[in-house]
Amino acid sequence: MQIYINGRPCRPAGETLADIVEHFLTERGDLDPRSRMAIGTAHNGIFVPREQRRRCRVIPGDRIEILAPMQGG
Amino acid sequence: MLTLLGEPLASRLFLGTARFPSLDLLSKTLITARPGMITVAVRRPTPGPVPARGFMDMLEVLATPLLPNTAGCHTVHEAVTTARLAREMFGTSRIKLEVIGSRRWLEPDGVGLVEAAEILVKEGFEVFPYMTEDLAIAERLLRAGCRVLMPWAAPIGSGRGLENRTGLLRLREAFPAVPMILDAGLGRPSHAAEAMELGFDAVLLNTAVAESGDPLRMALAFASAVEAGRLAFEAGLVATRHAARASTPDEGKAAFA
Repeated sequence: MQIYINGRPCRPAGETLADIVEHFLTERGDLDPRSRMAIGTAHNGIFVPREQRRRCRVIPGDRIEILAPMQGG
Repeated sequence: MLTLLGEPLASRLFLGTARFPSLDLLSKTLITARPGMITVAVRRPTPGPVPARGFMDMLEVLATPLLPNTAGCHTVHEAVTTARLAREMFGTSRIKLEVIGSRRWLEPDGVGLVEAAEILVKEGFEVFPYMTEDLAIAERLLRAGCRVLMPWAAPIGSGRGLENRTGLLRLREAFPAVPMILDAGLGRPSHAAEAMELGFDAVLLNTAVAESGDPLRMALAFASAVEAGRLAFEAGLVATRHAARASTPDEGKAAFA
């Protein structure tokens, strides 16, 4: 299944947003532990709270944003 | 001391956390300057080495009140979605709401700002709207439920200071009971002092400190300027005059002629 994570096409295993986040975090070993815990998600442009990721089904072509806390002005 | 929306804050200087040469220098600057609030953002994580101590660890240790932003959002949908993400991520309902117009000037889009503020206030957010000095937009934002206003001084990162001093003064005078934080475009400590002299409750800046030759010392300079400006405002500035008026009275002056 091809989907887009942060604008890049990829083919992760899994059917839910929680699976996709898990895949993303496995791939991204360069995130510090606190940032990994604070990750935020959006599915096709809609914010998905942490506790709803398991219920959020992902289908081919979906656009997923996985975001982290950053320095900002 | 400033108490903002019921919360006592360490300083009337608020600082952005971006563009510092290193996380270590940012941390030292924040520990030394003790800003009242710091801004943070939501972004796609960028690849790089795993830091021994991350940004979130630093925030936790500092315990400075956070003000997440919706920087770079050009639509209501983008801004509202970013605000929702930020609330979950940083654990605060405060949001520095930016709905940006042109990419060249990064000026606030007043219409989009009001629309986004209406949505977010209904969802329980404490909206800090980044706005121009427009009085009608201010009125609408307050009607939408904003309890604080954040007018710009000048375009973000321009360092130009209070470009429309008269307009800002009108805004300050129009809503004397509303906390106002002057945000963006401040380049020098004297700009911050001027804002405080006009009666603004706090200032928020980032680039002027982060991109200075010595961010830590510059943050301290801004902190001092903010304090000086506030003291002057509270003391009451004298009215300006067109002509001179001797400070030493003529009465009792010797006659030598």
